Amino acid sequence: MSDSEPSYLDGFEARRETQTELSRLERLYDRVDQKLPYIMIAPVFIIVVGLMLYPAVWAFKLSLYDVPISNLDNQVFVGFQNYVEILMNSFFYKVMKNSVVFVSASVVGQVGIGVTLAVLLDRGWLDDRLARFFRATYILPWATTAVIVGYSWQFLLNPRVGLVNQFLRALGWANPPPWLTSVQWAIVGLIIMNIWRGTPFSMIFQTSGLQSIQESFYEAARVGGASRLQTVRNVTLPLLRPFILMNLILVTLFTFNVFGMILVMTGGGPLDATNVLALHMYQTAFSLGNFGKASALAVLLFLFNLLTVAFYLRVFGGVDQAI
Amino acid sequence: MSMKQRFIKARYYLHNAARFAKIYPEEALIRAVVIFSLVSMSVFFIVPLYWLFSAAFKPPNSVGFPPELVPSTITFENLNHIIVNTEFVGTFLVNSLLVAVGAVIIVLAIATPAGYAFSRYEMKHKRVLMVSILFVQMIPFLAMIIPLYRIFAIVGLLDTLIVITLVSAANTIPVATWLMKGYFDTVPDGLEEAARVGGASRFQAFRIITPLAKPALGAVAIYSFVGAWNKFIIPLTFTSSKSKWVLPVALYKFISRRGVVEWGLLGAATLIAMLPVLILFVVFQKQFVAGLTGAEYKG
Amino acid sequence: MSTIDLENVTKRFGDVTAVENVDLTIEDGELLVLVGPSGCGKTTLLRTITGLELPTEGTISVDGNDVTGIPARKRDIALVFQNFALFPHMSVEENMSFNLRMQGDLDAEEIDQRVADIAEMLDISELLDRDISELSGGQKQRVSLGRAIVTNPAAFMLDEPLANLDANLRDQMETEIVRLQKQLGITTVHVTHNQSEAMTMGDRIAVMNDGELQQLGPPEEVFYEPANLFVAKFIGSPNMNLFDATVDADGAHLLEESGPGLAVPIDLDRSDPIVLGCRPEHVLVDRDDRSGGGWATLEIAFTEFHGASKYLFFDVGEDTELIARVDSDEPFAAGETVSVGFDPEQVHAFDPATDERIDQSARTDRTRIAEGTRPSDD
Repeated sequence: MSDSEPSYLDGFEARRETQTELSRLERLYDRVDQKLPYIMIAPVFIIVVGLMLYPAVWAFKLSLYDVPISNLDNQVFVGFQNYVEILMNSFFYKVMKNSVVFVSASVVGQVGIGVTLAVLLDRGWLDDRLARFFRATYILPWATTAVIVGYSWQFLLNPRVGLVNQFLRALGWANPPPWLTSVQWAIVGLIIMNIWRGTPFSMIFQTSGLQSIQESFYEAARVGGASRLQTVRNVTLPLLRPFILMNLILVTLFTFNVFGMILVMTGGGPLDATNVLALHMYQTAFSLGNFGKASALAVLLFLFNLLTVAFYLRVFGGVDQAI
Repeated sequence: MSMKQRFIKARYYLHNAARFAKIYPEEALIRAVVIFSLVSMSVFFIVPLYWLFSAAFKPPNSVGFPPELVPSTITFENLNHIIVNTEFVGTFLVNSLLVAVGAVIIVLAIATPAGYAFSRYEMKHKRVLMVSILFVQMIPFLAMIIPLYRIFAIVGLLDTLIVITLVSAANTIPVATWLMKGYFDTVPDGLEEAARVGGASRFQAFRIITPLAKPALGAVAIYSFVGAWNKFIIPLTFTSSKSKWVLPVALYKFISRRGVVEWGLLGAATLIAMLPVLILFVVFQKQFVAGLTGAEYKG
Repeated sequence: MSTIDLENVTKRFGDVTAVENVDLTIEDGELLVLVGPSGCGKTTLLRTITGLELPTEGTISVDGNDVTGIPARKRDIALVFQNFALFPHMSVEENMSFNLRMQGDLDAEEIDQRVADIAEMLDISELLDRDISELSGGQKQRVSLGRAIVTNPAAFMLDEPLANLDANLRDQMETEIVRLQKQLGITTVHVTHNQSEAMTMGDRIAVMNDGELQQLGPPEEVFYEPANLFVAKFIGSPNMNLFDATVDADGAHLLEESGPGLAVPIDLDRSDPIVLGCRPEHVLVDRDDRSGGGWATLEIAFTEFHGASKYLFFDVGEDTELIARVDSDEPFAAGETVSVGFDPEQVHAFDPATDERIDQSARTDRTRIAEGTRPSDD
């Protein structure tokens, strides 16, 4: 040690002593501080329980009552009568059929196109800047509010001034479908709209999945002599499996609950050809004022959600795949 | 770049592409198909919005048959009409902004500390707690809407902006908490402990470390802003008086009242309604993507 | 400056016991190294001393005062982290002054002065205005040391501070930390999983395994008199040769099932089997045929060159090897048949039932240890 070391030790005689006693205030502060993790997460649970879980439980309770809109406090317990009435009515099955068609076609379209686009925009196919540009053009529909989505597609599918039919005529289809005014074609229009709205989410979701695949897998495949399509089939898709499963679950849950766009676009018509479960429930509550029955429909909707998730998990094999 | 240089460059590319196609015809075909499908998807995703917005600049009653993709004459009559003669900007846009900004503040104030706590501290049943907040999101929002309607009627909050703000925020908080937790997980463990050993309380340590999560804070802010901005069923159900309408509700009422649709005016109104989102999109593209999907955001 | 006493410290996480009943006194001004394999509880013990974890049982006192319930921020104990844990959004100076600012009993001028002094001492004065991201690993290490010592704490905890540095820098920092510690005379606990680092740096070494303290003593003692089989295996490189052996009046007999066997003339008053250990550097190798009398004839399976020394590997039975360490200029080569024996002065006996060391009456000559021939290690 040389003599030129600074005499830093001289300045240290005023060293803090280790505190061995805490004052009462310090002890209180410390006790609060030790509980801080719980204090920090408490608001989330207050909100989640107060604004989501509690209302949901209440909804289940309401579904067992007859709640006339004229006098909301005059609730009569009717047991499962609301459910029985719903399940005995053939209208419910018509709505269910619409829902299943709408959801399954939308899910297949959204996830299918989403995965395809994500893979095409992944490493190796295109120049990075080009891929970023394409990705950017695909995102906006997801950030568009349901009302605008509804109107813009109403506009596009308008049989007279609509761009879609103009395009179809140009392709040589002399009498293109009247879309939203037709009992057969209205739901097709809704599905196209919903795919337009929802695909960007799937694409982004899959893109983040693809980013988690390490470059070395691709390198190994290339060195092993796999072609591009072989690589996609044997490397990319298997590794993407958990993301695809999660994507399917999320999109199905979203789609079962979609009705804002439908409300704007067709209001469920023509002749209830586009009436889906969520819309039916909303109209039962706020147009017909039958809160009890609407709650029962909401509970049924929740059960369908659970069943679908269970179905996916079964097909794909286990919860661990999804997390 | 002069025209001539551009021309030379283009010819150079074309030449290269032709040579590539000659040597690897299969590969070139695949590439052509890929590019073609990507371009058509771009058209598919952009044209619907573009067409509605472009109607805003077409003279009234010129929207008709046959449709024109590029307006032949540009007019601001529609926009002017919406801004001057309706309450779109004066009331509804302001309402929407208040709700969205309020939701952002609530979400950040609640999700940031919760995400931090979930990331940094050991807690009993942490996994269960974290999964349960996502599970609650699986309950269809529709199931809650009737009880919420009753609750707000009882506490006298029905038909106020507060309700819309609160419910929009509540909808976003679970995902936002996960997003923040995921980001805090990438901040090295030792920092919080270094702060605490150095003399900071847990709360001080949280305040010291939070600035490190700026990217995630940005993504969550955009996520909750766009989420609240686009809410339609919530404000439609919980507000009734015109002075409390937000933009989506106003748009909906605007059309359903008039019956006969004036596409030019509708285009102008939707353009105004989308404007903040479009601005966010242009300015914060990266955070925008991360924010919208709630996907893991990599700084 | 300070003595730290741990009494019966136990730390459990749920059903997992990370630290089990540790009694330990860290003497004033000493550098104690806590060493053990990953997951042995050494880091938990360190965090318990700093107050980041509260012990499930037991007490911790500093200079005789019980501080068990005092939170980390109120204990005057500094901690240096493996990944440095420097705040990336603060400059070097802000990082170094952080603890002083948090403790808040100095004014800004004094803080600046102290930071400047310490920076000069650590030779990082010119880095004070830099961002953390601009620093190299070694510079980050110095800054994190500086942040810890700037408050002149009662004790100094180092949690694997060298693990993230590359080999050359690590050697240099080992020396520097020891020098700094001696210069400040500050009570220090250094945690590492690297046994050679532990022996180089420690005044005393505490070897831990499975949450329990295995042996506590100066490096020489831990190396030459390992208290049990775990310590014998863990300390020293390459690992100690350990074989089951039987004992009779002639000494210990081992490796008999696979060949002529090897007899080591030690004096042990015991009839039960033992485990006999001999460090590779104490294995005797001779090219002459010296069969019998404590020597075995073995074929060299392969050799490894380690600079100054060379390791010879012998196959002795299924999946068991015997390793000898010789000077690298010795011309041994694979395939050669040589005579191998254990230096009877340098063998260790362990009880296979308890894994504990058995002290031998025959072993008296400890002078060579006192002369200070520290084991070389590479």
